[in-house]
Amino acid sequence: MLEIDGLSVTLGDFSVRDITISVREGEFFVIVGPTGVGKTVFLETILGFYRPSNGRIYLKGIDITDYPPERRNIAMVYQDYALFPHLTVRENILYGLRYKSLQFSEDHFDGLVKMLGIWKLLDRYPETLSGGEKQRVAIARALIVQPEVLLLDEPLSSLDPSFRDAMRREIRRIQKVTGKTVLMVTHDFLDVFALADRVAVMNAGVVEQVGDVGDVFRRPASRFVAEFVGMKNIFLAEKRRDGVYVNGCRFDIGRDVQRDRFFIALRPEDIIVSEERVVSSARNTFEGEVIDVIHLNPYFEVKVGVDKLVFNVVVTAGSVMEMGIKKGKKVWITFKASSLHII
Amino acid sequence: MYIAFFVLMGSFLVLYIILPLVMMFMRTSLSLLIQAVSDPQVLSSIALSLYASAISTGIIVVLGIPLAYLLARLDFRGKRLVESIIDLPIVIPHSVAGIAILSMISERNPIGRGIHLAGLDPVGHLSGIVMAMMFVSLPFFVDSARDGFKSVPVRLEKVSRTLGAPFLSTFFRVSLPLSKRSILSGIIMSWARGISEFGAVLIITYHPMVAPVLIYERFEAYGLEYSTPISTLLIMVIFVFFVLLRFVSSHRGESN
Repeated sequence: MLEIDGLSVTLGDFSVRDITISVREGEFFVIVGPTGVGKTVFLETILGFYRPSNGRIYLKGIDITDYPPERRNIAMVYQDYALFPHLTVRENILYGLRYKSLQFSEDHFDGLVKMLGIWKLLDRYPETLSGGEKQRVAIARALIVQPEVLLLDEPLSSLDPSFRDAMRREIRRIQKVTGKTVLMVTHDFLDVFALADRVAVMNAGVVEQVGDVGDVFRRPASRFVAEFVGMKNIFLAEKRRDGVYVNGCRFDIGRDVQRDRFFIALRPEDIIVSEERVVSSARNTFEGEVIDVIHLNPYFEVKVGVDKLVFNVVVTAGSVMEMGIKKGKKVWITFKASSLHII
Repeated sequence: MYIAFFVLMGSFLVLYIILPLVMMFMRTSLSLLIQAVSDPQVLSSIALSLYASAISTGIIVVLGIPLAYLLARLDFRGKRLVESIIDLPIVIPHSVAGIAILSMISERNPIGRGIHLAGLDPVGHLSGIVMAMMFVSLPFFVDSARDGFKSVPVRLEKVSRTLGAPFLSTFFRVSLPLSKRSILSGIIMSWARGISEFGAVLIITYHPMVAPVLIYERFEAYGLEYSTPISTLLIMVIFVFFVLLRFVSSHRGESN
């Protein structure tokens, strides 16, 4: 559907390099990465506002790299919504219709306005709307021209946090109902879980990993991706003749790795804490001392020191009470070799 | 304490503008004012000033809007130089401006011959007045329009393009309406500046006389008493535009 092939573009401080992603028809594709890594520049390059120094963009197999923005049939909803302040909501929504060979259909307009719940706002001016209302209007304005692809630039970040969940569901619903192909950029991994069919993780102008959300989350391909998707235990491992060592602790990783030095990632919820040594099939068990207990409603994050290593463990409130976990207490931690992700 | 001091200092400048004008108004006798209003030469000179300046402003608007938009949107080498050149007429003496235009339109050079071939004979004609006014007015319009275009978020133009509007449609449906107020105030500034031009017009076209030239002539010939009524009349006309300008620019604050 939308193929981006080896795209590089530089604009002032921002640059993206050699980006290759392929967005499938009807798919919700999310690009996630920290703020300020050139995500907007990337979207505006797809839209045709910047000339890539390298690479091509294909839409439905047609090379659109040299097309002007108005001929690409790709619409965008900006982070600040960019509604035309001198036009009413109705005029905003209808703005692009005259350039398309689409027949204006009262039904289509009504349907869109109803779906987005903005029929009461039609005669108002943008400055009188709330953030959520502006966003719906911006979405309606983009959808009415029936673009092949809808781009969303951080659509949730300028909303009040309490509305974000609702709007996230709303965006998902709109995408499901319309079946639009959506490409969204965000810095929030929660958006990925809630919305994405597939995800690309972007850092410092390059795509670090592309794949299904589950795959990326379970098998991060780089240290950055691992940290970004929320794995807090990342260790530098060394391969010696008798096994894999992390800072003097021998880890059983249950597989052979061809490198001498690599990173190991371990999800905090994959570690079991106990008062006694657990006898089980899990092959990694260490005794350590609780360094810190942080209350993160509804969980506790417990930092356990094993020699010089610090493990972050997620523990339920019940277990913390039951075991009397507090600073200085001796505990055992256990995890399976298969929970370890080699990066 | 400091505020009081600053207010005192600042008031001098404000008064320095108001007082001479008030004095002039006060020494204008009503009968001479009525006489001036019914003097066809006075009326035609004021009308000529308004008319010529309107033509000059019209030409400036047509040529200045694209220029202002380029300056607001495009970064190019030598942009600062271009901007300085545009502001040049503000800093050079207006008699010098008149001399410079006169040299350009002299039949001794190809440009001047071209202008004559085009059927224009600027010296002593309306076209000469318009040329002089354009020269001194255009910085005011271009600067104001440029600031107006600059205040339109680029993003709005981009959205327009993604919705299918080509560049020109975007310009007329988004950029222009959103900088309407700045363009309007630029028009008024340019017009008022043209009406008040004396030096450059005097050098190129003494006859037909625009209002400032007529005032100068009456002053030379009859003295202060007979030149004040025309001055008062002209100031009243310009004042109307000035109030209009303030009205327009105060509304700009509200709309954004």
